[in-house]
Order: sequence, then C-alpha cells, then structure tokens
Amino acid sequence: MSRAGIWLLSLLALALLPSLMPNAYVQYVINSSLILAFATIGLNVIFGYAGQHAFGFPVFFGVGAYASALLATQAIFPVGLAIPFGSVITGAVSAVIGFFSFRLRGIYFGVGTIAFAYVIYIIAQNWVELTHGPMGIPLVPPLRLLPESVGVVGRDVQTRIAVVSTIAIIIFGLDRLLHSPIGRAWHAVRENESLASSLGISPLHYQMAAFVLGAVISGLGGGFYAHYVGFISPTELGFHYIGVVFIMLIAGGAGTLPGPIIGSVVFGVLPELLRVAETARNLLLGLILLFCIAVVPEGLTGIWNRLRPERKAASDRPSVATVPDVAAEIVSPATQTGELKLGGVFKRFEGLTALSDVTLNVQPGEVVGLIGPNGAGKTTLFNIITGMLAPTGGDVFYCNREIGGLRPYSIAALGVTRTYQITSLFPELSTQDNIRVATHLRSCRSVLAALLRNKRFRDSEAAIDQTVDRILQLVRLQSRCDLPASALSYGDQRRLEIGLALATGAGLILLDEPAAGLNAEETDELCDLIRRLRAAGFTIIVIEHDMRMVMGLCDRIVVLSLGRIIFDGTPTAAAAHPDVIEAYLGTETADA
Amino acid sequence: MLEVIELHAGYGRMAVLHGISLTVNAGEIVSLIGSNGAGKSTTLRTISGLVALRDGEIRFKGAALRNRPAEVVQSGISQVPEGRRLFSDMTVHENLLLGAYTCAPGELAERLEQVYDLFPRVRERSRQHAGSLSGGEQQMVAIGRGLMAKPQLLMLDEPSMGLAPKLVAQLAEIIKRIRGLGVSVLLVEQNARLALEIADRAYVLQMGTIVTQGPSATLRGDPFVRRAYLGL
Amino acid sequence: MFELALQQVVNGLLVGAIYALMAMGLMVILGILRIINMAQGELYMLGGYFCYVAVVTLGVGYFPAVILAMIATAGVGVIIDRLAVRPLLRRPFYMVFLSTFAVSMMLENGAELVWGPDPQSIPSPFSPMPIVIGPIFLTSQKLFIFAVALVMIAAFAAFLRWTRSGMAIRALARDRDAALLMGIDADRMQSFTFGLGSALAAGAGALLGAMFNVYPTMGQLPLLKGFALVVMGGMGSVVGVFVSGLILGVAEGLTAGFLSTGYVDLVAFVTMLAVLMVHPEGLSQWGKSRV
Repeated sequence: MSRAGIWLLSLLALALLPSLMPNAYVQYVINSSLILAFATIGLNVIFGYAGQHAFGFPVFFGVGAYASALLATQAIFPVGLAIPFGSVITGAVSAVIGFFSFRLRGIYFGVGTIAFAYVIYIIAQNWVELTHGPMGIPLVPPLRLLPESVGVVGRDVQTRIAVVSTIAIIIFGLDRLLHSPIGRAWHAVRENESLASSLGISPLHYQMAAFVLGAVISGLGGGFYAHYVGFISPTELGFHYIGVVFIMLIAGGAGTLPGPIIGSVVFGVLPELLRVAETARNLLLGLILLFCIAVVPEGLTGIWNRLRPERKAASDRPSVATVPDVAAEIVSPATQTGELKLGGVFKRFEGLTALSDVTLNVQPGEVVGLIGPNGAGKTTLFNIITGMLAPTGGDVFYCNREIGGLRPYSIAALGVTRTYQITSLFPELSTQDNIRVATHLRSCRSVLAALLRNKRFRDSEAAIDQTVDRILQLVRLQSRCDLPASALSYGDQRRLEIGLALATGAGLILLDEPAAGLNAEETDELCDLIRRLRAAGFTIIVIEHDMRMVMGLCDRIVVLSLGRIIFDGTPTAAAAHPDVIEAYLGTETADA
Repeated sequence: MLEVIELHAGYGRMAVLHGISLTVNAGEIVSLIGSNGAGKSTTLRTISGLVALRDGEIRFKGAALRNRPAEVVQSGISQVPEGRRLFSDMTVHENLLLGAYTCAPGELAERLEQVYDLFPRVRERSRQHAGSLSGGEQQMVAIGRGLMAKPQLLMLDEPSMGLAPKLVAQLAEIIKRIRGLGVSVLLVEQNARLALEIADRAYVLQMGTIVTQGPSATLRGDPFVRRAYLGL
Repeated sequence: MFELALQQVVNGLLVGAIYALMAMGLMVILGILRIINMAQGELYMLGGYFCYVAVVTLGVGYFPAVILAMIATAGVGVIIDRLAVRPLLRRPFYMVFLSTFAVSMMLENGAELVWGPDPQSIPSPFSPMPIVIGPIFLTSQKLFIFAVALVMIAAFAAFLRWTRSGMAIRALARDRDAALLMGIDADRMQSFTFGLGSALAAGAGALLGAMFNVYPTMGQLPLLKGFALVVMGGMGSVVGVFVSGLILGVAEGLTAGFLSTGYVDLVAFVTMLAVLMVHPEGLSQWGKSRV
C-alpha cells in the first residue's frame, strides 16, 4: 500500500475508532493527545527539520490557546475564526522572539528561548487585566461544526474530526515542503550550517521560517485546546508542558513525518494506562526519555524504519540508470564569470596580522595555485573571498561587484563558492541529494509553488534532476548515487564536494587542499577534472601542498608567506625563486 | 628509547599517516621535517595520545606506550605543542606549575630552578600574565613548561614558527643545552635548514610517509630534500 | 519608604549570595564539560532535603548536616555524570541537555514521593530574636547564613586559584588539548568537577532551606537564575558571578517591595536576555578575568 494510503487509513482510524469507546473519559484523553500533537508537530518543524534547539518552543501552544480564548471571549470572534487568527497572532509573537533569539549562539540560543518562555509565563500569571492571572480564562466557547440540534454527532467527535482533518492538511503541506528546495534547505541548515551558507542558503532565513511556521502550527493546536477544554490557565505555558512535548517528539521520532503524532498519541495515552503510578508519572516519563536518548534516539518511528530496510527514506527520485561511462557532458557555470580583484586586502585578528597588502587579479578561465608555508594565511584569504570572514581593510571585487564583507550565501549567489580543507558534506543525505541540495540557487524557492506543485515548480525540479545527473556523471559517482554520503570512501567524498561546488552554478571555485589524503591515481583524476573545468569556462583557485600537482596543473602560482604575497608568476619561475625557496626551506641561522 | 613502528593515524575518514617508523635514541636530537600537510604534527599528537592510533605501535624505554595523554606524560614524554598553547590568562609561574602537574610537590622547587637557569628572562617575568609576553618569550615559557614534567624525551612542534631570525638562533642554542641536561629531543620543523643544523639525524616526511632519512650532515646537501619540498 | 528599601536591600544581599553559590556550581560544570546541567536545581533541592534528613531524622547538628548534605549530593552528582552525561558527551550537545532534564524530572518526582509535596523547614540552632540595626531587622540566623555563604564562595575561589586541582580545572576549561599535554586526567577531573558543582548547589540549598523551606519544586527557578548569573557575571569569573548575584538579589528585593511580588522572577530573565543581546556569545570565555 502506498504511503498516502497508509496515512489516510491511519488518520481515518484516529478520527473514527475512538467513537467506539464507551467511556467519555477515554475520548477526552485521546482528543487531548491529538490536540497536543499540534505542539509536537510544531516543535518538530523547528527542532526536527531545521535542527534548532529551541528548548522553550512549546510555549507557543499556550500562547495560541490564550490568543484564541481572548479573541473569542473579549473580541467576540466566532470560534471558527478565533482559532486561526489566534495562530496568526502566535506567529507574530514568535517572529519577535525568533528575531531576538537567533542572535544568540550555541547553548545561549536554547536557554534564551527558555528565558523567553518563562517571561511569557510570568506575564500570563501577573498581567491580570489581560489574562485573568493564575485563575485563567473561564467559559471559553466550544467549537461547533454542526448545529446543536444534530445531537448524534457529539462535541467530542466533532472536535476530533476537525482536529484530525487539520492535522491531515498540515501533514500534507509539510510533506510537500519537505520534498522541495525549502525542505532541502532546512535539512542542509540542520546538518551543516556553514556548508549550507556557502552553497547559497541563508541559514537565518530558513531558521526563522521554520520557527514561525512551527509556532503557527503550535498556536493552532493551542486554539483547539482552549475551545475543547473550555478553559485556559498559565499551567499550559509552564515548564511541565515543555518537558512533555519534547518527550513526545523524541520518543515518537524527531525529524520524521509521523513521529510527532505517534509520540503524542502514545505518550498522551500511556500515563492514563499507568494510572496506578499516577504520583510517579514524571519519574517514569523521565526514565523513558533517558532510555530513548541512550538507546533509541530516533524514537519509535526510527525503530520502525530500521526494521523495514527496503522502505527506508527514499531519495526524491529513483536511482539514476547506469550510463555507459562516455566522456561526461560538462556542466557550465550558470552565473556570469568575471575577474576577481583583490586590492590591498589586510586582515587583523586580536593583535595578529594574518594578511597584509594582498593585491591579486585572477582572470576568468585561469587556474591559479595558492601556496605557502604553514600559517601563511592561505585559508584566511579564502575565507575572506567567500565571506566567512570580513576583511579588516582593502577591497574584494568579483565581476566588478564589491563582495568584501558580504555573507557567504550572498557571495555564492554572485557566483563564488569553495570546498573545504576538512571534508564538509551532508553525511545523512544520499550522494545525489547532496548535489540536489547544492542546486538551491538554481531552484524555484517559492513556498506557494512547492505547495501547489504548479508547472513552474515541476519544470524547475525536472531541470534540477537533469543537472544532478550530469554532475554525478562528471564526478563519476552515478553508481553510488543512493549511498549516504557518510558511506562513501574518502576519495569519493572529495569528488562529491567538488560536485556540490559545481551544482551551485558558480563560475569561480576555490578549492582548499582538494588533494589532501588522495593517492597518486586519485590526484591525477582530480587534475584531469580541473583541466576539464577550465576548458568549460570555470575559474579555479587551488590551495595545495602537493607540489607536483600544483606545478603541473596551474597556469599561475601565487606564493603567500607570513600574510604577504612574495611571488606571483609561472610555476617554473616559482620553483627557482630564492624568496620562495627560503620561505619553504627556512633561513640560515649562521649570522643572526 | 622511543620507537615508532608502522604508525597509521588520521582524523575521521582522512588517513594522514600511512605507516611511519622512526626511532629516537637516548641523548639524540632527532628531527622530523617536511612541508605542511605532510603529517608532522599528527605524528607528535599521536605519540602524545591526542590522536587515536589506528595501526602500528609506539614503544618507549622498551615498553609499549599506551595512547592516553596522561600516561604518556607520566612515562616521561612531554610535548611543546604547535603555537605554544600557553594558558594566557594565568601567570608564567602558574603555567610552569601546571607543567609539573605530574611531579611530586617536593620536586617543584628544583624543577623551577632548572628552568629559570635555562631561561633567565622567564624568571624576570614569572609573575606576569603569559598572554602579555612577546612571541619569543612565550616560546621560552612553553619550552620551560614542557621541561617541568621532568621528561626524558621532549617533543617540540614547530618552535620556530613566527619567531624573528635572531630568536631562531637562540632557539638552536637552547635545544642543544636541553640535550646537555640529559633530555632527548624530537623536533618537528618546517624550517628544514634550522632543523638540519641542530639535529643529529632527520626523517623527511611527505604525504604521510617517510621518504628519506639519515644523518643531518648527509641530508643538508641533498637535492632530494629540496625536491620533496618544492615538487621538482 | 526608605526603611523598606533598606530592608529589602539587606534581604536581597542574603538571597543573592545564595544564588551566587548555586551559580558557581553551574559555572564550573559549564566551563569544563561545556554542558548545561539541567539537574542543577534538583541537586540544590536535594542538598536542602539531605540537610533536613540529617538534622531531623539523624539528629546531627545544623552545620555538620550542611557538610554531610554537600558530600552526599556530590556523590549523587558523580553518579549522574557517569550514567547520564559521560556516555553522551560525543553526541550533539542537546542530548546532554535533555538527559539532565530527564534526570531533573525524576529527582523532583522522586523527592515528592519520598518526602511529600509539602514544604518542610529545617530547624536551626539560632535564636529567633531579631537583631535591630537602625531601621533594619536581622536575625542571627540570617547573618550566620550569609557569612557561611561568603566563606564557601571564598573557599571555592581560593580552590580555583591556588590549588593544583583548581588550576587543572581552569586549564581544562581554557585549552583542553594543552591541559591534556600537562598530564591532566580529563576523565577524572570531569567527574570531580561535576561532584564539586553538585556540592556547591547542595550547600546553597541547605543554607536556603534553613532560612525558608525545602520543597520538591524549589530547584526550578534557581537553575535558570543561576544560569542568568553565569551569563551576567561572565564565565570563569567568581567575582563577576558573586557581584551579579548580589545585584540580582537586591533588584529582586526592591521589585518585590515596590512593584509587585509577581514580577520578581522577571528581573533575572530580562537582565540575562538584555546582556545576551549585547554579547550574543556570552560574556568572556573562561579566563579573561582573574579567576
């Protein structure tokens, strides 16, 4: 049975089966669990998909509940409007919190979101005029889909059908987003933020999008909650809820589509089954969370996936058929290529001058080798050209546009990209999906298009598939296109990295020690690839220590020593130049 | 004294050392030279236990040496890391004390005296914060810190990096005096000329394997060494 | 008006010193292990309860009971380190956050099961007679507790500054690889640090428990406030955290006296967020200040 079929059946079962239960309390428990699933789904968007550790995030469920309750009781909105409007308000609040939170790095981000959650909690407890304080808002009107007279279909059932239908729509939408450039961007930002940035994906943009979307979904659930229970108080904003939602998500399976729902239903129902141990509830929940973290971090859905290997997360497309290995069709730069001009660039860190007075011109189509002893500043120079560092002084121009000081994703959009000294890929993704993520700049990134799957979207995806094919052939990875990148051999990984650089469509590619760790044969293959890229119109700058390779491959050599350019000319001249020799082999100490 | 046998090591998927073998005998100054990326630092870091050993063996004073940093220091091998890595917010004195972490309290005074004798400038600055010293002075503190552990083998990772030529000459002197104190030295250097001047023997490392080795005198004039650096 | 303010200031200094003590433990764990110990608040709570048990059930004197509580809680801390933290250190850092969060849930529930949800007070050996200095009311208990908190903080600072282990902790926090090259055993130091951090939290809990009450949920807010202090005072600075603690205590006292008791807890969070907005990476990596 297809995925869609399983989903439909399960959702239908969730909607209708509980009606068979005689006990009204059981219905209540199931309904509450399903409503809480909104909070778990919302958390999954920011935590599971986008990989941001917003520990205070579940507070948005409560915010949505308050917003909807207030709209219905104070502003006399009909319930059917209060709930969605409430979730919009939640989205707005989350945008503000997100704006401030994303300025924080590392641990401080997570704790910052907790602080914000606590602030909201304290305000709800104390701003009595607005929120009625600790007593909460009573008499919240219920959600009614059918008029009173139709008594057969009780309120519980109505709510459940509304909830399950809404969840179905949300899941459908999320599924479409996940299988689009937006979903790929989220994954990229989660797995390797700095690589994503140098491939043209703005991390902040997608993190904020996930944050607000997750909050809107959570807020929607909060609205349903308020009108189902008929009452909302600050407890729903409290710490307890935060812990529970996290447990539900992780135990259900973070980062998967069904995980949050499974987790919510199981952990909504489970404590009721353990009524005997009511007082030890948190003790058991804590134990379960510990167990999950230690033994099954992928949660129930992860276990399920493990047991069914042939149905493991498939790539967006079936495998590329093995094409006879004819001289692979070359890809060309998608953006215009031009001259790279560095003028008097210098870079200072706390007291240490890493680069001084670096002036360099690189013409389109050149292959330039950048060499120099340890600590000379080569990688620093790359970092400045690609935007990971800003120059302290001097300017950097590409195609006559100033790029010095811009962010990596902006510079990537202007046609400059790089590979890294230490292998940088998306290990969880397959080889072809790695390349697919890197086509971000060429893709149709509209949310609406992704949801509607209109012609523009489908054409764009088809073109991307073609590009991915061609790059796979070029870097000779077609036969391994479905392997996760982490399973590739070291040499294959290095080639894949170059494939990613090509996928961005950039015309200027900076390669940082691409031959590191490669054997002689692999190095020759690499040189061959670089020559073909030059023939196709790419401009390439290479940092390398493998002198044989650099001398044979490059049109020009630039030598950096202690942050300054000490030589710029042909390879043969470089090898004979006394300054270069001295920089490498060292000075005499005889007369100091 | 130190025997490294067919050492394989690396970071993550990247293999850096492909079967290195070298020895350092008591009383020797041995150097490991090569251009960057060759694996020189990785060799020292593996011996010190900071990098996991994937294959091969390290033996010290006849016994197998375990790949754990604390044990390596206690066995008598001390490393002065690349870039000095002083604890910059602590005083010079505190840095030296930390160097003697594995020593008994009673020995501290004696060790300090020996280090201060070797580096009179350091004695002058002992109460200053390590971060406020000049590059050359920091290097001396770093070497002194390495000596505080009373090692029988001192490993130095690119001590001349970033030092002015005059200081580099002083460095050569100091390393010879250290040998005179009965400490053997394994010196990793990119500055091949300096290394070959100081050391008795040298190994040339390229792309993770030893391509040539021998007494310094022989290697000094060897055009192969130049080729190994410049790829001619 | 002025008397009220002064009274609040004095009370605030006392509470602040205890916050600071709690924060020291959090700071040292954060510095060495680079993790947030979400169970720190519960260790604080356990310190209070162990002290209570020692005094009420075992009949030990108050001060020995505080010491006993600190030692016992240090033991609990080491167990948490071995079981819930150590195995997860190679995983992404939110795993340790969640695992210590799980531990905190378990400890809180556990305390409720063992001792019940109602607050208990630790009988203290002090006379309840107030000491009046000008317009300020103090009790000998409060004075003594303040003094003990100061002594503990000073002892901790001295430990970090002058002892071999203290220097090893600072070295590990500053530059782990270099510290390993000194022969410092990182594994043992980590467990030791966790125990030390737990003991400090326990001390704070035992002291506060005598002044007010102990109850199972008493650790939730102090954890966050402790973190706020580490942010405000700067990682690695005992003086900074101590001064921030005093300032926070006084600010909370004044807020309670003049604005409203409900908004008291807001002070810590708003201040912490404000500091973080200006310094998104937190104030000073370990070591920029003197201790």
